[in-house]
Amino acid sequence: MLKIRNLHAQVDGKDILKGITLDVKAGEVHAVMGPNGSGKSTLACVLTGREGYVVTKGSVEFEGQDLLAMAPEERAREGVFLSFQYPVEIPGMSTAYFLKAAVNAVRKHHGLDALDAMDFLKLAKEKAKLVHMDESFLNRSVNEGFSGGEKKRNEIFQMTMLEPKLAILDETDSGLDVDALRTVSEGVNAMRSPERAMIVITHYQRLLDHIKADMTHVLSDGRIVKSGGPELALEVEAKGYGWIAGDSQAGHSELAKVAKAVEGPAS
Amino acid sequence: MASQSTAERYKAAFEAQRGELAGNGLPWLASMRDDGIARFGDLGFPGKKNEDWKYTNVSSIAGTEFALPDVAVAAARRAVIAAAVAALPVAKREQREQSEPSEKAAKAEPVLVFVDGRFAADLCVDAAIDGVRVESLAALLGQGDGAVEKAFGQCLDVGSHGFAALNAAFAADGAVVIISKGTTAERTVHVMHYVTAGAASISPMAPTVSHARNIVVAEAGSRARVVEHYGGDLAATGLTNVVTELIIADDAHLSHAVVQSAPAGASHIHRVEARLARGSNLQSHVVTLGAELSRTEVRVVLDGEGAECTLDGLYALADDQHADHHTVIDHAAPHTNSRELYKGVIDDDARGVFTGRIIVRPDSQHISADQANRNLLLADGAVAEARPQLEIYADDVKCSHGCTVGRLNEESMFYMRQRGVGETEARRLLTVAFAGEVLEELGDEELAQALRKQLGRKLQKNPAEQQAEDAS
Amino acid sequence: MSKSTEASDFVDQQEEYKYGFFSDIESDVAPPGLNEDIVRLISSKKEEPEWMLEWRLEAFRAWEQMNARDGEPRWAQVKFPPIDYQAISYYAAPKDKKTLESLDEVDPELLATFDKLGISLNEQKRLSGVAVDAVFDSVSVATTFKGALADVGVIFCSFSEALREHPDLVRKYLGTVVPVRDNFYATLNSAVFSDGSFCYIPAGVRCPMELSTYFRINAANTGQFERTLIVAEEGAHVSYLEGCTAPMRDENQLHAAVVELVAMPGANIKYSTVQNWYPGDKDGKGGIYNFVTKRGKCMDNAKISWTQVETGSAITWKYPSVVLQGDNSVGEFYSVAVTNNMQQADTGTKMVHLGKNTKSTIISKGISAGKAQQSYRGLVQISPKAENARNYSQCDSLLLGDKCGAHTFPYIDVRNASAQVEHEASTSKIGEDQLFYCRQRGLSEEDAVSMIVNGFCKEVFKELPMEFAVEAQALLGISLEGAVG
Repeated sequence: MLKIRNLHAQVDGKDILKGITLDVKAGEVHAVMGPNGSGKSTLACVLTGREGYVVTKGSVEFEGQDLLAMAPEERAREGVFLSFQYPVEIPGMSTAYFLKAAVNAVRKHHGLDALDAMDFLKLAKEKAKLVHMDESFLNRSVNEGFSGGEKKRNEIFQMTMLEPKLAILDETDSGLDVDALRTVSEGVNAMRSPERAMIVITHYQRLLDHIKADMTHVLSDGRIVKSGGPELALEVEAKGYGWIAGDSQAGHSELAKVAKAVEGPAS
Repeated sequence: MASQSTAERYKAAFEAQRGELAGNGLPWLASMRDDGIARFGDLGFPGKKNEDWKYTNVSSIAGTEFALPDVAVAAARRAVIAAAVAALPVAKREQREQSEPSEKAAKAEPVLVFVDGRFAADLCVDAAIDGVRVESLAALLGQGDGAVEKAFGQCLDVGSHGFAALNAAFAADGAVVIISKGTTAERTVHVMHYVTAGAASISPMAPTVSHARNIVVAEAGSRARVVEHYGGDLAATGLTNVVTELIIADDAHLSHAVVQSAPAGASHIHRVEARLARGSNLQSHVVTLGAELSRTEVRVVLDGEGAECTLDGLYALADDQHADHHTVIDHAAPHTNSRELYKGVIDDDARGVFTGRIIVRPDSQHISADQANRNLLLADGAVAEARPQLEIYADDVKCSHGCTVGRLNEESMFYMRQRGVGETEARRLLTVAFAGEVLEELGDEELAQALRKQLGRKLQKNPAEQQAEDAS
Repeated sequence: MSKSTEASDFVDQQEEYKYGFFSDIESDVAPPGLNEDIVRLISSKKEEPEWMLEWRLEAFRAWEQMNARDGEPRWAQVKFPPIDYQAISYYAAPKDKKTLESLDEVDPELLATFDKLGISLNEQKRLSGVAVDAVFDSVSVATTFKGALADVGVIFCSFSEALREHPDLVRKYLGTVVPVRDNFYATLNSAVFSDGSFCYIPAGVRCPMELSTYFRINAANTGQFERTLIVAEEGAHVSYLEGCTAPMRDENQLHAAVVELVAMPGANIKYSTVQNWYPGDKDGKGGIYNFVTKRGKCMDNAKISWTQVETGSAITWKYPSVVLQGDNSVGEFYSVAVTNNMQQADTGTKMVHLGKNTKSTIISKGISAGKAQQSYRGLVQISPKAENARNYSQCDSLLLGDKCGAHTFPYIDVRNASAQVEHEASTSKIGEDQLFYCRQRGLSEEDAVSMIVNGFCKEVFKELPMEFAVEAQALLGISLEGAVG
């Protein structure tokens, strides 16, 4: 479904991603872990087309199409969904109105009829239950005045409404208490299907207790320095990132070797 | 248009005096002076129709025939003025440090003293700071100093109103402070302007006029603090028409303050103009306590990328004082930031006017500007007029302004009274606290403390009533 | 990688002004020029009483003096070449000699014109619960629901008819809020106004339906000078709406209206405007000069609320104001102003607090796009006798594109220490993060902008009556189409 090849990207002229190669197939859940500043969120932004993130090298193919050539909304309509680390507040725009416009834009793209207000509301209320959200939030402005947990639940709710092919969850666990974490995870797990892939970006392993990943990748200094199964996440949790990334210069040279091994001949 | 008589009167005075003005032989200065008096002929004193002067009536100034300051008066008042200089917060700091006499010389802060606009060398506190030139404008003009020629008039927009034009015509003395490239001046440079109660040789109380020009040049990468103090004889009624030019080069940081405690019957017109180059920073402070009629303008042009300025102001007015504060921040380059806070405490029948204009020029992108004006009205006759203005011609901006006019918070008043503080005292304490925010920004605790005390005294106009209050 | 968000890429796709058609209706037009004879002609065409003519002539003489002395006011932040007041025709009316007995007799072409505008004058197809007075060029052509309103004692008719049927009422209130010599354009209007609406709500009556006037400028080279007077007697309630459109013409047309509101003790007047005069083309050619004076006077416990959505006109110069004369009176001003391409607007309000415990609220939302320049100008004045006055003002500007300007000029003048006045203003552009968030959910950039802008204006839209709120949102979309991408 998603083929990332030797992806390099800059922000404000500074290299952040330094050669990422990753394959994600339908039905798979990939966890991307890494310390702060390793490039995790940048990867999410580059995949969704956020302005200010300049790809300098490499390619991304999504369902056989050049993802990087598409505008952000085209990527969204094709089925790439990003659950934002910091969901944006839009004063004055009700969540229902916003989401109805989004759902219908995606439906139109796929040649489906627009949902009318009644059908939309029915569907929205049904899906809201999945993430234990009170219906009243539909009438509130998008994310305005929402608590951190409500914002994240709203992201997952929107995901269930838009039914993407590829969901990227950027630090969805940050700022959540145990209960909210469970609710959000349940919502995510309900979305798992053989047709849908997910990339779960997280700093900590605790989200992965709830959402079982098929593959784990550790990102450091813009490169994937280690890939493995679900057990890798536990190992990282137990030993810390220093174990892989290292804090010292010596660690870095070690890292370089690992990076080379992971990247293979592509770099 | 000035009425024929006013324009003629000033023109005649100019012709009579120009031969005596310092730097008269300098051709570059002569043409600037000619331009100044010609502009005044066109502009006259600002009238009611002038939108920028809508709330400030200067007809009393326009109608007064001012006398020339008399040097003899300055000499006769020497002891009093010396005491005033000694009373500056700077002097206290010096005394405190006398316990370590070895360091005294090194730590003293220089004070340049001007009486009725003229340099008074014998009253100054000399204290050299490495890399900083502190001199009188008249002296430098007399020497034909190149640095002054380069700086003089560089910021002043002569055509903006009659007072600026008059200053351009008549200015011959004032303080010149030049901080050389890369210098960090550890100590503050003080400038004291003192106005006396009139030209004794003509009649005991004839009001005098002075047109001082202060110039501060902060060369590239330098860092300094300059404080201008204005005061005078209690009975003085003259006009002080000052212009201060601040030329701030690349990456220089300047903190500049105007502390105006002019006599209750005097008029004070002051224009501070600053031009900021790339990466430089200005912290401007204005504290207005004195003068019957005052107008203080701070106009800043952020001319280089990355330049930043902070404008803080406090006006505390009582009786029938009228104070007009007029600020303009011109974001003429991209990536420039400004922050502004002006606070007013207005009592009795006083009137406080604030106009704050923020301009963002076309193509000046990535601008952040934040302005606030807060006024406290303490009496029924008090008037606050505020005109915050945003003129935005670029789109990548984040600009805001806020303005409030109101009374002291009733809840805070009650809270203090419930804890046993008398009403008058509670009001005074809360008011000083309200003003304190601006004084803290001065970054000079000694000066802030002195001003806090002065403010407290000003608010405590009826000591008997207060004693009764406190006793109860 | 991502699509450019430069506004300039899209400005050329500006949608045509939807109401820019011209109706071929025979009209009766006075020759261009302004003099006493024209004033007399207007008055006689309308068969006015003598006092009305005298009133007009006094205004005309005052205007002549103003014109000779200072000319048009130039303090607003708008630029336009001097107007030749002698080149304008001051009277144009659809040619129809006989007096109309019912709507059936109205020229079908005219009815079709209003249908095209979405204003059906046919009572069977009426907007539910809205009575409409339609003003075509300078003349009121039809008023609907007069019967139903008369049953409760509400008078709603054209100004000319009011002068014929209720001369004493008109004479009692005309010019009491906006005096003859108020300002250049109001004085001009006082001399040459041709028609407008008159509403009178008797004491204690709640007007059973929304009253509405639709203004349409049709004829070329004419000015439109309508006059509206609304009087709500003690305890009366009324909600009034006005809408305006004009055809596309290359030359500028002058519209100088006056609206006076009188709210007697305990009365409540809500006045809503959706102004969509022709704004000119994208290069600034043509368009209406909209120089309007609107003011209301509130007696004890009365309330006046102005809501406006200003999307049209080449130049808008307008400050709907409230004089809070009575104790406990309330004034409100809710405004959305949109300027695109070469449009200019200098608009805001004046809240003059004279009575005790008076309250005012100002919410102004300005959106500037293209090369447009927009200013908010507002006065909050608390007089020495206005004990415990309160004002809250919020003025936000949104910039779309880097060639436009947004300016804020509030005047705050407080002369009573018991007042609490709070003013906040901000200027910003649409947040990149908001746009990206919407696009990440599949919305096109244009839709995202339009939705964010509607959200930005929501506080004002919710003050509009339902029928107008929908129209206003749609208008906003049209006005900004192509402004940002």
